[in-house]
Amino acid sequence: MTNEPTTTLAAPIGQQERIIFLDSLRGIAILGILLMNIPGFGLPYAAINDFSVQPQGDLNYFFWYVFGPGVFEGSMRGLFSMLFGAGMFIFITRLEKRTTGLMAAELFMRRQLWLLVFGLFHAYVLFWFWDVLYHYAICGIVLFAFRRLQPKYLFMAAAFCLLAMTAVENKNLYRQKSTIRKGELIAKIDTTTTKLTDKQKAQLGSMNEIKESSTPEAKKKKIEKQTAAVTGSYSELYKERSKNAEESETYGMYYWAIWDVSLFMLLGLAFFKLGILQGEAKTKIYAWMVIIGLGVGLPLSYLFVTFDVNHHFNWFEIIKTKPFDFYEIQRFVHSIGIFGLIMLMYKSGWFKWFFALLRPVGQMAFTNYLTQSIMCGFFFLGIGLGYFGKLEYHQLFYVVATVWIIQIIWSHIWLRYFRFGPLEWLWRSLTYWKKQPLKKNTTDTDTMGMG
Amino acid sequence: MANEAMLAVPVAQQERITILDSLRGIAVLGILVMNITGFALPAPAYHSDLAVMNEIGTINQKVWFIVEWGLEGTQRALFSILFGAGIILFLDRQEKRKGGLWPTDYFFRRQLWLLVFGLIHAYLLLWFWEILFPYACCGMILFAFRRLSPKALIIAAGICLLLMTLRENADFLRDKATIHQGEIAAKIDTTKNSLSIIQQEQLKAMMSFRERSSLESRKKEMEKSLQNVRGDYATLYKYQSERSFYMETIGFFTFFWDILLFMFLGMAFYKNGILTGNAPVKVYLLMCLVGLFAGLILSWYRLQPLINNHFNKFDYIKNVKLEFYEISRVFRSIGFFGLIMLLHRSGWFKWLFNLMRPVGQMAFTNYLMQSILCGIFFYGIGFGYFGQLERYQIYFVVAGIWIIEIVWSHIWLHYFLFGPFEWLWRSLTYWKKQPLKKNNSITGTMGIS
Repeated sequence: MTNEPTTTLAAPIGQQERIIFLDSLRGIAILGILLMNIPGFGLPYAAINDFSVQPQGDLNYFFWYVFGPGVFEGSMRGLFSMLFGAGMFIFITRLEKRTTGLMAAELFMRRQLWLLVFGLFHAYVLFWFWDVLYHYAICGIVLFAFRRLQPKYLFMAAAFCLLAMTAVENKNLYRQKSTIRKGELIAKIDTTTTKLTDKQKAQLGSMNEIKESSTPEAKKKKIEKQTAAVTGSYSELYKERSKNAEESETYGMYYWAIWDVSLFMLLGLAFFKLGILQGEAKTKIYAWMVIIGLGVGLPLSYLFVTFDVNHHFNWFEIIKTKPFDFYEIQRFVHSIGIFGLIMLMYKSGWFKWFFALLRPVGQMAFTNYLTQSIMCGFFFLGIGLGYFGKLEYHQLFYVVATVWIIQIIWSHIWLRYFRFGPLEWLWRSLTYWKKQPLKKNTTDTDTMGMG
Repeated sequence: MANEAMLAVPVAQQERITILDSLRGIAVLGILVMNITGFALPAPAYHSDLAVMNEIGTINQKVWFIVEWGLEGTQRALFSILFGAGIILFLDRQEKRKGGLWPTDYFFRRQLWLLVFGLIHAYLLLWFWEILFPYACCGMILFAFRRLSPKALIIAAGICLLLMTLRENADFLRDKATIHQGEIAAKIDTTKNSLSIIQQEQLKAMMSFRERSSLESRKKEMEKSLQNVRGDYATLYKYQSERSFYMETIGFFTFFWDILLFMFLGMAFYKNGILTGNAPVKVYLLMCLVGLFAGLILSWYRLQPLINNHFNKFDYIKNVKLEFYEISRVFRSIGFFGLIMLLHRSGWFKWLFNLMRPVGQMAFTNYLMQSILCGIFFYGIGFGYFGQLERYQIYFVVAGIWIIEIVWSHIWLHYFLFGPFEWLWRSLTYWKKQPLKKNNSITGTMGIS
């Protein structure tokens, strides 16, 4: 219908064009994300953030604290989001140089929409209810309009996301506080003398719901139910997991992901434009990130986590007594610290072997992300080996280590013979709607993808 | 770069395709017919429940039936068609005037601002059935499809129809299963065998569903609705914002294909000239006859069990085999569209299309004004007529608003270039104050000082 812009120059990135260091960072992020996800793979949903329902012991607590909310939580997905934001920018600007018309934008949108399809596949076929491809696809589409902003404005937008997330968290907290307060007032009414109105009955019921679900017995029952579903038949698994996935894609997308994910995507865009992401900034910048990020972040996280621990994870009591929810703030601060730490390792020059080891893992990050779900699904789900709910917290990390070793080895091997990971190849072929070359050959040039 | 920025301007008067404006005018007035029940009647009466307000067998049922049987879903279909076409129009024009990726940037900015308007509409103007938010999101997704051929777009619409039908039946059958499993669990003699955890859950689920569907529960829901909407701002805000949030998350997610379907058709119809009235008359005749014939029959068959089961959802789902709302809606919408285009082509209704044109040119303003006017009339913070009028009476309010909107659209556009909200939306998109007053030297270089 309209003038067809030249598509022959629209091709995926040539080997030489890849910014090598970003691949290593992505490799770290991808392996690190498994640390965060393994509780979701291996433990019932009700047990994930709740240490009280786990087999106790210092070893388990250590793993729960360090590889969970105390140190690493949110940092790996933060790093991933930063790389995604930067990658979006790289993709579009590179294609803008090679194509005419709106082709670059169209290819970007197609890429995002295919990612969304993969996300749905990940959530409803591979049963990984904590899929983020869906959310990243949507955030990417929304942030397209922000890509040209200067770092200054990107930082402002990121700050807005942080504020918005904090506001949403506290709105929820205070709404629940009010539910409890109203319910407790009604509970004091002497029902032998006064009858409760319907509205009062409802409010009392809401409060009691929170109270009862916070007892160890109720938690145990929930855990039993979830374990039965996930280790059960295919249809029970589907029913349980698709419910979680749908909640994540509706409520989770609008109340949490849009702020939490966009925050670090915007930061990634800004850091990329300033050279910070690629390791080109001065060492002292990274040093300050570590000092403030971990110096302030780790104590903040400690406060955040131990509040729940000291109240024995009784959500009812926690809601009543917690003055301010600062999950996103503490996550943001310690994530910056961890990022700074990784960059210091890079700048020191002593860890070249480490970054080189993780480079192929990051180059096939998409494949590795999905195969984590396939492998862990096979190991834990009832339709596989069924270890769901059977391992203690620290034992989950044996699974992590095993998956890491497998993924590092196969990434190195695969990328010796092929240009992209298998799912990368699939995603690119769908985006360009043209079968991409897969096998590596000796004439590896910029003209990849044509002819 | 600065010079290029000046060439990115909104559409000049002569460039507007007038038939689209007239169609949009019809759509925006028609949408009020659909929305008025949400403004005026409590839940669940507004959404096809005639039992709670004792409307069965009265003139109210007849009025409900005409709207639900014939018109339901067709107005937003027309709106979606125009929205899809508008996307192509906007991008085509921008591409002619500006290079690089700027057209895309403007398009996405436009959509994001629309999303902001949607949020304001939902959370400030407190209209829970608002559509700007989902339309903004769908528009961003449709960008990737804009260069598809009409045939491919129609196939895409067909896929949406298939997926929507599958989705509505998946939910339908899931609810049926809940009922079925629960009833099986209920028959088990618990003195002999105790129920497993899963069976207990199934029994509980079925019983709570049955309880929720009972007339008593629905009447309680109505009471709650009346109290909240007639209450003060804080009460109204809490109630409406919860409904809005539900519509923007679960509602949007579940009805996604329904919304997207006619946007694809709109893009296709714009490209092959059907939308602009350039197709042969027999195309429209076919659409009108097949669409209305098949659609009205399907719709009739769909509504009978609803009426026979006294609008009790539990009984309806138990007794009905399959859901075919989307199919019926698609046929009726195409039929309605064909009918309107036949009126246009006949040439006997020029007066009607001329009357509608300014209404459609300021459709955005008129859509928002409906929410403002109805809010003032119905909500407790206004005149408080919520739940006070009978169903047949609310259509008098519709007629009143129609007259107001037709009159002021003609007057406003006599003196100004765009409706007020159109002007605001454009100024935000281009991040530059747009000219508003009409002057005699209107040329294609509007916007350049």
